[in-house]
Amino acid sequence: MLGPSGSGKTTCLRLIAGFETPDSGAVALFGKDVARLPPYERDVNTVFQDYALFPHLSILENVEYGLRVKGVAKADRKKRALAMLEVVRLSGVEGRKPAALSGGQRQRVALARALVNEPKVLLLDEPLGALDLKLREEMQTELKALHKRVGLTFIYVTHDQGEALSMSDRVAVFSKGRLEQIDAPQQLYRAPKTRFVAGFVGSANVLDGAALGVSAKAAILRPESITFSEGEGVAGKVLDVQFQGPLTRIEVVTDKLAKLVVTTPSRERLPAAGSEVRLKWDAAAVVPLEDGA
Amino acid sequence: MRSDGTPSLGLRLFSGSGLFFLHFPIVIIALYAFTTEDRTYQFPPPGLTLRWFSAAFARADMWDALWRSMGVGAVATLVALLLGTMVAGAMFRRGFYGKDALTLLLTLPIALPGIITGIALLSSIKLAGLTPGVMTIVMGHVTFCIVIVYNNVVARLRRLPYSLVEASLDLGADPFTTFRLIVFPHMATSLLAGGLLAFALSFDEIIVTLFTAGTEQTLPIWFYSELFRPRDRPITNVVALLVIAVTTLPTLIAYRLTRESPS
Amino acid sequence: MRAIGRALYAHPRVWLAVLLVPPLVWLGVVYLGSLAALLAQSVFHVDDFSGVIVREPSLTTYKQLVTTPANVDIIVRTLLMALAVTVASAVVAFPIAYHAAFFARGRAKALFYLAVMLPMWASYLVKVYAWRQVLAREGIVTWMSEVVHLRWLLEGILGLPVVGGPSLSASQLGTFIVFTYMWLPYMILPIQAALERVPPQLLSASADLGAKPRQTFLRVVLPLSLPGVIAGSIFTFSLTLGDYIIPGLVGAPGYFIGMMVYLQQGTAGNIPLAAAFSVVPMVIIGVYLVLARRAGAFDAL
Repeated sequence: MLGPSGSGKTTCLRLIAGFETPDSGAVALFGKDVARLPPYERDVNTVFQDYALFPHLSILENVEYGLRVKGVAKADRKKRALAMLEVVRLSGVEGRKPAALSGGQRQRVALARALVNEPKVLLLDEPLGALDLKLREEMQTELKALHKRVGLTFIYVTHDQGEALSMSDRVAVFSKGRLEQIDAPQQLYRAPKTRFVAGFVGSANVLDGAALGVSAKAAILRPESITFSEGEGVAGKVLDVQFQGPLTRIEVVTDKLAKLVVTTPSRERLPAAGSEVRLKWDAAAVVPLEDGA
Repeated sequence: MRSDGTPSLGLRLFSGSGLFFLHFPIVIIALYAFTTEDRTYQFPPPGLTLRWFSAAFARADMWDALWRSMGVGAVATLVALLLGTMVAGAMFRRGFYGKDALTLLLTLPIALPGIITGIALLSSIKLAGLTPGVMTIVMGHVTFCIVIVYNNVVARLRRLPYSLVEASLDLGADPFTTFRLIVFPHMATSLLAGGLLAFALSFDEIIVTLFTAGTEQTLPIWFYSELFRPRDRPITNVVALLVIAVTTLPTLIAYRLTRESPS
Repeated sequence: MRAIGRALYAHPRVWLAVLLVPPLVWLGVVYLGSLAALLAQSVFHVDDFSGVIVREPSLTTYKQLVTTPANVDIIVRTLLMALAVTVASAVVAFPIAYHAAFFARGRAKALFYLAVMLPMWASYLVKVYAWRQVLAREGIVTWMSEVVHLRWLLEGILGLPVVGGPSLSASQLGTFIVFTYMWLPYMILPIQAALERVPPQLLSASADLGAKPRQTFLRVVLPLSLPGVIAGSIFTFSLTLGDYIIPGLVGAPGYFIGMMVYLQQGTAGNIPLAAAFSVVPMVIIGVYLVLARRAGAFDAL
């Protein structure tokens, strides 16, 4: 679930977990409406943003907590907890307390604690937010591997679109409390349905539909799908050229279509600021939007 | 103020003598518990003896008052623990209608002078046609002991990250189990600290108790009446030492319990 | 059991009510009710002839309070004492709080805190009693004054009108000393808290802008500590206004408000007058609290 702060994605997650009750409507889990059920009666487990490990319990006691409150026998739950700690690759620390572990380690404990209960769905609330960049990238790979190994549905909340696109089978984009689109990452990128999605997932030039020759009110053109041509195409003047490493971002102002942003691989010969250029693109690259401009 | 971070001599003298001023009367009490002179407060004491200790322990009325104070303290503390924790449980999170008013109400028993609480309680006792006695003593004590317990428990509860409660619920524990396994261990020491402080406060209370006690005697009341007797003064000192011990020891322990340990 | 848990979870307000009702009943009925009863009593009056409390609302008792010169005397005396004690405690408390706030670190700070806390929690009566012994005619103060050959000074002070008396423990001065002593911790702690809230960068900034240490103190630290002083003064003021035990044990003959309240409800049986007397400190403190709140003292509590 992807979206900016305040878009409602965390609230949605909490609705699934049971920490919020809907004012109207239903929360259907595998067909059954669980909206009136408290969290401890739903077959769903959560990994919290601050990990929420119980400070007065050892790692082992933390992980086996869910089993313990369900009445599983001591030896059995210890075995299962230890096994799950191995799955998240954190053996050997079960005697310690959470305060003695690093952020990344606590993360894994939180994962193990949730997964050991074999929930139908695992909910993760921005689990990697507190980690530094390198650790975050490591954990992203690990989570994907874990997901494959365990085989459950993971519902993952984040505001980082790169994270969402790289890790998900499907992404749900939220904005201002509404669900804008659910699709596979590539679909989301290639065929955004609304202006918000187009702008949030990657960047886009949002233009008047008629000017681009489509029947919709608005349409988008991705910056990388515009190229410079020698003779044909839309005429324009280069406003700004920004070198960004592998790509260069060029702003071009045209008479017909206002300002267009073009990204192109950095080459030796690029149009200079102030020069006259011509832009062209594939008709297929024009994506009509479902909402107005 | 010096920039090198060390206090000037003047400041050290001032604060040192201030602290000395705070403590030396208590030392004097101890000293006078051993004096041989029993009718005046002659200094220096003419001699030292231990006989006042046995004399004090022989006084039946002192023991009577002592047990009554212990009993009142125990009951008042228990009731205050229950009621104070309940209020703390309601107040530590969300706001609700009247929460500010309740916060104010919870400071009044300690903020208003004891005499007002005392005369107010006596007024309603008389209006209700009751006779002042042990029951009314306890009622008076519970009223401000609730505040002590509340302050301790609510401070601790506010430091509990609510995500811990949610995690417990999420993992399958119902609210009662969550309380038992997660919330209660977290606030256990604050309960103890609040209880100890409440007991110490109740044990030493005189201002309100004088109004609500009627003819009954708690240890402070006994002490107070002794102060007007011209004889056996060192006995009062011995009992004073006892009272100091009973009230400062819980305070010390409570302090250690609620001190935030560096994590 | 499950059903109860589920119901409570779904309706957090019911749970809130369950938690709040018993303590509220207690505090509301026992405490607030008593305060109301007190106010009620103050508008009753005692019939001069029969000595019986007449339960009809009237302002007779209040009139009696403010028109009898002896009563007004008492109120004024108590007020003046409260003021003097407040000023004195502030002066004595400030260096201690200052030292603790700025120069004590770690372990020393904990010790400081304990050194102030413990006497505060040590028994009230015991402390007053201790002072009675210290200030007694044959006690340690007299002995010390002889040792340093200042006995004549002590006698001179004792000879002063109003303040003096046959011995320190039977004089207003004695009462003043004891009051100041008793409320000292209540003044130290808020001042220390306020001082600790002063960001050290302010002091560096002041020095950086060219202020000498004394100027920094007068212009930066002192004003910022004021809310703490005011918070502490709430305690010293209200505690002194209502106290009836200390003036009775250490002091000259001459009543204070608290003593009058105690006396009137006791042998005199004139609860309405006692109630009326006790309304005086309530009103004064109420006004003081409002003023203190405006000055920002509540943040320092």
